[in-house]
Amino acid sequence: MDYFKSILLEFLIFLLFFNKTFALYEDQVDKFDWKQSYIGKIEFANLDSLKKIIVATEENVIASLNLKNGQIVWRQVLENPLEHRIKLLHVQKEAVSVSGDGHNWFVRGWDLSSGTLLREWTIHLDKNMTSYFTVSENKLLHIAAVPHSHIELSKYHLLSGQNSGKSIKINGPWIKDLTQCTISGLFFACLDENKVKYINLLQEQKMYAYDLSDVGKESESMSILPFKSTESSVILVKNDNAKVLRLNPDGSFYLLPYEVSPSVVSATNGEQNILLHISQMVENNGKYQITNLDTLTGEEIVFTIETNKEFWQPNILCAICKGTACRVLVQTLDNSLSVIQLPSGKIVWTREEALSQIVATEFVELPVSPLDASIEHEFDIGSGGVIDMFKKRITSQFNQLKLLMSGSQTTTNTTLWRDDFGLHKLIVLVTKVGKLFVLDTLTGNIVWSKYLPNTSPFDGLNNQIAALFVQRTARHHPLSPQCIVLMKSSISGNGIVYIFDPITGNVVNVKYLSSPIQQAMLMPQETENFLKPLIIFTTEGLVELVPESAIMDLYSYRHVLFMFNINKDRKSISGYSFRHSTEKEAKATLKWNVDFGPSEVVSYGIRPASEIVHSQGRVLGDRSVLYKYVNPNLIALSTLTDDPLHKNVHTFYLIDGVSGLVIYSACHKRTREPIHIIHSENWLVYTYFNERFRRTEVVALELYEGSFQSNSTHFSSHAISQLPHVESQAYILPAVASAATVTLTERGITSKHLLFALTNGAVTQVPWMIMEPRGAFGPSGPEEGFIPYVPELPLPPEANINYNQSLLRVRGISVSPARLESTCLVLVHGLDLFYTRVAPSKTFDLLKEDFDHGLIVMVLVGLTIASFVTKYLASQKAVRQMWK
Amino acid sequence: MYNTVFLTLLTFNVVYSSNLEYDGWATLTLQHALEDVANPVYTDRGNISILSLRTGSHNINQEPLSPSDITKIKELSASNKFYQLKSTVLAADGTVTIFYSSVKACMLAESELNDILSVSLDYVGRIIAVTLAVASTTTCEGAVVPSSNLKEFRTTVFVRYTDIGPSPDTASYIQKLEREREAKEKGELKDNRSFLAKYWMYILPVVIIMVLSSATNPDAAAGGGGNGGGR
Amino acid sequence: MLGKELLLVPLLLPIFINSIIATNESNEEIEIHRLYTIEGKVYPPDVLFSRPNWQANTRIIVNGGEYIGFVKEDGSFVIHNIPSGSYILEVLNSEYTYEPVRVEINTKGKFRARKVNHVQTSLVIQLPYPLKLKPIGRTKYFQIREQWRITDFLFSPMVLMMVLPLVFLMVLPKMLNDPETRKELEQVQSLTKFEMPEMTDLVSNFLAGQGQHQTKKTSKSSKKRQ
Repeated sequence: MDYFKSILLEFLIFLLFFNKTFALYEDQVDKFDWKQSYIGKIEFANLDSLKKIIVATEENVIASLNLKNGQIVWRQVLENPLEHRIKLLHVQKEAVSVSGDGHNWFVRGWDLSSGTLLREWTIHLDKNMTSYFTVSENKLLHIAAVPHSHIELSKYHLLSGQNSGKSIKINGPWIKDLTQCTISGLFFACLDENKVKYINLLQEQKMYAYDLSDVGKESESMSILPFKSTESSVILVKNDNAKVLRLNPDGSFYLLPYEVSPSVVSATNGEQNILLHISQMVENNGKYQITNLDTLTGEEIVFTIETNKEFWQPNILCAICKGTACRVLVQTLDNSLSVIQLPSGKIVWTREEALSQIVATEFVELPVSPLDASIEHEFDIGSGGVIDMFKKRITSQFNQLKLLMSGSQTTTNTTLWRDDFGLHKLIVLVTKVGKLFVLDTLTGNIVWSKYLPNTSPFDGLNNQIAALFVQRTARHHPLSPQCIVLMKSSISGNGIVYIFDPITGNVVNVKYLSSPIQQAMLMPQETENFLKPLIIFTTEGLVELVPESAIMDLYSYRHVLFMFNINKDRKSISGYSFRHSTEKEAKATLKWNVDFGPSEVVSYGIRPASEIVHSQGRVLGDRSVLYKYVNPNLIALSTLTDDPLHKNVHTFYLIDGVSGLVIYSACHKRTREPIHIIHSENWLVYTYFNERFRRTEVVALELYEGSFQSNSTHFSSHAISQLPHVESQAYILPAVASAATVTLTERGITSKHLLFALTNGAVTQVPWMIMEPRGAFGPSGPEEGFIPYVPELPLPPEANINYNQSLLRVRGISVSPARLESTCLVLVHGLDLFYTRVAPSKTFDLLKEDFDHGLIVMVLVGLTIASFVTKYLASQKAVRQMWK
Repeated sequence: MYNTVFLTLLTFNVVYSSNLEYDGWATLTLQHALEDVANPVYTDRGNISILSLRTGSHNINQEPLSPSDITKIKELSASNKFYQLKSTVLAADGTVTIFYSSVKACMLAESELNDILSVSLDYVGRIIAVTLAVASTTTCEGAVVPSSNLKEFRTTVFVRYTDIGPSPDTASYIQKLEREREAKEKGELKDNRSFLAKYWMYILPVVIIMVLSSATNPDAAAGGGGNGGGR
Repeated sequence: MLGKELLLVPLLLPIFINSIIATNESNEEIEIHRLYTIEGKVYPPDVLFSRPNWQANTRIIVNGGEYIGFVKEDGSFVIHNIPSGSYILEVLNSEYTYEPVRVEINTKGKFRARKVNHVQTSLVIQLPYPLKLKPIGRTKYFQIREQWRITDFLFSPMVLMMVLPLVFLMVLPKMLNDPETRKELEQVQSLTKFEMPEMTDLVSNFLAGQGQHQTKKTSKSSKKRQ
């Protein structure tokens, strides 16, 4: 009987949670989601006559772009770019890529039009040596260079991978500094003692030298770069000026007598070879120009690039010409990729590849529309008198009516005003190269972008991060919203504080700190101007405030402000108090510390600051209440310890951030990363990989105070009356998660769904209800609707929020509540950018999409008519009866 | 009130005390600061030696407070400041670690120096944290404590362990599946529900119809009722 | 002082990480062992012609992306440079679902493929090696919208509310023409001694009974549809 019941229940759960609540309807595709695919910073590019661009990127991606519109035709994502790099892209009949980690190189051939793999073979090296690759007539040449000694040359058949002959050692004591060496066509060339020394790889053993002093040049501060051309050439760069040195197969050379900029490419223009190079004009507002140089005649044609956007140090990747008409592929310092059309100098399209590496995200609310604001203004000052007020009211209502008549739907979509349901927001994104983007949630379009040169993100626990804070939201109408980005200077490593208005992109202030940033956080309390002051803790132990005037606010809250910091060595965590701050100086004093010894902190989780816990307890089967332990100061931490006996041991800690008390700790032996922590309300979820059973496991923890609530009005970490009662249960996640988070809604009434980004491209939602530890119910049993325990979490495809749109290399998921309680906005970022909204309890506060307005009107009208008709008939009948 | 606290902490103590693979000892030298300033001067308070980390047995050796120290604690308490504790841990392998911790002085005073020292261990028994706490449901009540009750620390030491985390309960699930399969093989499940539970869906309409028909002609004869239902 | 503490939520943890060193170490570890190659073939779904370029859109990942394989024109794939161990191999295609396979390579280089079972890790259901991977079906990401059906419309409470009274209005007068019923009705009239005929009363009572009966039916049928 019980079994039967449980089977039935399991079946019901399936029906309830996976067929009904989750899934989208097919016609809802693209209705409230959008996806943008990126490829990363281009390292190699090739324009072929097929009107397609084949590129290889820093993200270890091979892709083909459409020359006309910049869209991705196909994209193949290779191994993890942290370990593997692309070293060669050779395009002929097929695209050949060589990528690897220094030991193992993958040589892959790709079909140009479809991106299908044609061949794959590997080169395995015993030692990690600096490798160069070049292709010559169906042969792949691999050169491993050993400085001050020799180079090793191996030849492989490009298509089969067959090793043709033994590898040859070529003596090369002149190879000193590998950064001053390059490979171009069949030549391996190095800069050495005022000479360019080079060898022809196919006619081995002979070293040629080109004396720079012959042409009056010194090799000092000069660098050598490869030059892609039909002839083997190198570029010699000195002080932003470059010259092309052509190396002939017979060992002779020819230095082109033209000064060009270092960003130079060669393009064939019918018969003759031309050089295209880009340079900044001194006059004309520093606009950029592209020079078309005929190598034979020396004739120059100059084109100005027509753009009103900022153009940061453009670099020509490749070009294709037909007569004077050229298409030039240009990449700028902020990783934006454009195609420029010559002779017009117009930009055909631009791709913002910076968005492939997002380091911080934040959702920002939009301000109210001027009309709504005018209604608010009505009550501002009562000095206007009755008639004035009446006039104001009438005009605003008239305007409202006008807007309604003209169709407000169309206007709200394009303008940046707040909508009724809070579904229209802006997403502020900080990217690794230091470019800020603001995207519109409705369309995914870039509202504005801003490049901050010489900035780089901080190193987080597992990834690079930047700090992004919303200091003031758009709710304080006349005051504009304000955001802060913290980055570090890529030159000095010191902190940079960039304050801006997220709606318009206007810079409010930029501050350069004199020391690196260690920790930063927003004060929860607002100043008079509704700004939340930012507290920055520098490595020197100093505390900086943004704005500085907020010192009085800090001073008044100094007893209730605490901060924690995971130390740089990742082996300890300490808590700080601000109680010794004065009216003049903010000061952080060490309050507690936890020392993990040899263990390393790998992940941490804190509750979202804006989260609201709707219900303080849960009702048990016997109608008693189990109170939740909702500690706002709770820090969850995961450490990994290298253990000789148990391999890696993962320990999970719950630490109170104010007192430093270790509330709970549990260890898991023989585990490894990835470890993710989700922290919400009174529960936590963490995932790790179990090496013993070779599966990802998920542990759910729930904390309860018990049947009494120690303090119902406010929680205090100082008053420890009882340690929380911890219930836990573990599950199997039949996939590998690359990011995890939990949905967040405005009031916390809606049930919670966990969101896991999986390495198979799916972002799946798992209801917290099925993960809740069962032990928490105690002997009285669970309340109704209880789901029996199943160790393996079901991951049906219906639960994918991104349906068939695979998202690769997901680095993070950020969530934000909409003003509709049922709805949560979700942004998934990685190599792809995906935005959607989820409703864990379905959209209970909205009418169903298929709600039939026509039918209800029809029925109402029908009923009214029917009642009149029956009334008439009844009276007729009554009269007839009377006559009887 | 305090009893419950101790009990909870104690249960932690008892249940997980046997998880440590190796036993060890540790000595804690306690120093405290009776002035709440940024760089305080720490004075000796006493020491605690944990004889066995596995069982948690320990010796506490603390000197009584001098009258000047008592007044200092009272001052701290009156101005709502923090009492700070610095614990220097000497472990069996010779490593020395320093831990800082603090409590509200007023809470310490109100509890009459009845404090708790929580010593947290990691999975092999290394001390990772020493935290001072005072058991209370509220922060400070403002009670006046006579100086005579502030003479000696009545410290309780709790050694707290890292337990083995949960792992997926596959065994019982497999058993459950097994049982279900067996039950299926045995044939039809015995339906031991009551007659009413089984056939309520048939009985209910009949009853409703009967009730309704009798309601249609309440005063009519039984024959009339039958008619109404039949139609 | 009120007892409410506010722990500020730090977002920034500047911590140095040397992933490059770590990976180098792991590579050296790999080097000691021999490296193997997993081979196999992915079979396209039968309705092949619907997606001409399925090979380019299919990826093979091992251990959640630790190793990657691509599918060639003929559906075959090789994954290079894998040290001995146990791996989960997945075929990723956005249109079709393939079952993951556990591939085990022992230190002598012997291969074994078996079904993935996370719950009973010791249970071995062997699969052929080199791998032959066939789709288990089209991936269903969407729920199907309920179709508009005439019965749904008719049994919707609103329509019932409108139609049923009409039906009774039409049917009941006919019934009253029946002499037997009329007799009965007269009996009723004489008993209740109301001046007005008990038409409305009768209708409402009858309606209540009938209505309840009908709605029950609808709820039953709607359950079936679910």
